Amino acid sequence: MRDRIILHVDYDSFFASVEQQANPFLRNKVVGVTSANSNKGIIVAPSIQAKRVGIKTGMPVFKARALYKNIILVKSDFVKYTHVQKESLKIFAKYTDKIEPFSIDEAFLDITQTCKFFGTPENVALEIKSELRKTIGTLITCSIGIGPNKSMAKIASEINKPNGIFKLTRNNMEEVYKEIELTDVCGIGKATAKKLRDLDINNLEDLAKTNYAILKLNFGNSLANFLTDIVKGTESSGVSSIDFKRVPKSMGHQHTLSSSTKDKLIIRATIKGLTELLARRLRKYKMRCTGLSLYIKDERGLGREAKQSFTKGVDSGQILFEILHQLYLGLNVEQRVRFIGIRAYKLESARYSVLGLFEEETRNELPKPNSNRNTSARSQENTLQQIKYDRKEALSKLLDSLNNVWGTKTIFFGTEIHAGEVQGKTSSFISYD
Amino acid sequence: MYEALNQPIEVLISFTKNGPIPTSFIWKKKEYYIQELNFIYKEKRGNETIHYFMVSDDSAAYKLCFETESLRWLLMEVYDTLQPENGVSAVKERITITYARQNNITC
Repeated sequence: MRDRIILHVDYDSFFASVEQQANPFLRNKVVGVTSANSNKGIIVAPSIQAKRVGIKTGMPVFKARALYKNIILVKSDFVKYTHVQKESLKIFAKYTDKIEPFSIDEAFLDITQTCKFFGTPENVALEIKSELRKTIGTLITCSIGIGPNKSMAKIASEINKPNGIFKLTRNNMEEVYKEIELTDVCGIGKATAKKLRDLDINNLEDLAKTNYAILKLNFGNSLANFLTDIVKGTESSGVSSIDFKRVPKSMGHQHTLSSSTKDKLIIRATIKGLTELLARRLRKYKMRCTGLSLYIKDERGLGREAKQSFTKGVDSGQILFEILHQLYLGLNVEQRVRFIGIRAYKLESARYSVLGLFEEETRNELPKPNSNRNTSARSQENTLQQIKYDRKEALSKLLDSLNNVWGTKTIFFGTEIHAGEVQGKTSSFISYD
Repeated sequence: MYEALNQPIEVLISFTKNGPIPTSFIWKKKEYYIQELNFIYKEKRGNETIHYFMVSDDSAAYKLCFETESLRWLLMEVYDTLQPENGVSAVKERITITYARQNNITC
């Protein structure tokens, strides 16, 4: 099979570079973009100059101040960052239709079919950089990795940072892999790296020498395959195209809290805020979900996931929240929570949503609390539940119509107040595969 | 540091082939001449589109915004390069001095 040509475009110190572009008095200075202009919270994005003095992403502000007393703190402005992302996607679309935004500051481009029109992959990378400079600004630079698959392209983009281009091939991968840490590979988190180290696999070289059976025994089929594909350079996942006619298979929202917390009020409010954003998006796409998952990462970086499927499609934020809240309680999280992500899957069109054949089935959005009651009591309960559901649906429609005219989160539930600015700092995703 | 203001201003615009570029604005009776247009972006807020212009002169950076529904210009933020003295920002102090001079008030 012919190798694909994948580019991974990764902006350098994205948020801080955008702020430095917008304000010349921040240029060449040690800048930290934070969630709030105070000593509380963390550095969401340090500038290139801040990285040079040892300030890292996720570092508490007081630690950053200890490293560099005169650090300039700038409050994050996601409207600016989203604008840059949109403009970038327009530029990428000149080179290929296969573009997969990976996060707000990263994207994969599959130029296998279109590269011949522009010359070499390096030419395409140079042209993209030049267009970004012209359109967005000279201060917002990116690094581009070129590889035969997504994981190698992603590794390549880290090699010549900042503002570089690097091509990783199967010929030079062995050399490159000697230099990088396990956790530098996307998909190998702290927990997997620790487990690998426990098996005396300390780098990618060791991983390449490890027998597949050992990996399978310790990590299961899927992760063992992933790890083997990484070191052999055989990873083959596709780059999803942005195609608005395609029906999404899942969608979600995720949020990193400004500081880790055990406060149930904040966690509940954050889940509520994310749920309402998700529900609004489901309604915008005229879709309903029959599966929900909640992913929570604690301050140690360890993640846990809970899922639930249900029979009738749901797009009401309130019902989704009730399910997600039950999932959260079921996870019994004892550590401080750092990251919350929710995902709706098994999506179906709201227009053709299947109604249950029997009355009881159609009102089965939530697990019934008690099934030992007599028929008339159950029927009465179902009728009440239907009224409750109808009211919630009507309320969602009313909120949508107000927010569509005046802007997202113009009106929202009181429960969300404790979540702070979930809307502004949330990243969202849609998956078509 | 940035100081949030959200105050109405008068803006002089130059319509160039690359789009509209604010050239100067009047805030609290003082005219500010824009030397650099650093970054432009927009936001959709419900039905309304808001255009933001990040501009600067020798001493400060400004965030101007144009609301397309009300056709109103606002000075959203000022980034003052000079360190605040006695808790008063340098830009505000300059404004006060200008205002005092214009109105023959001794500071």
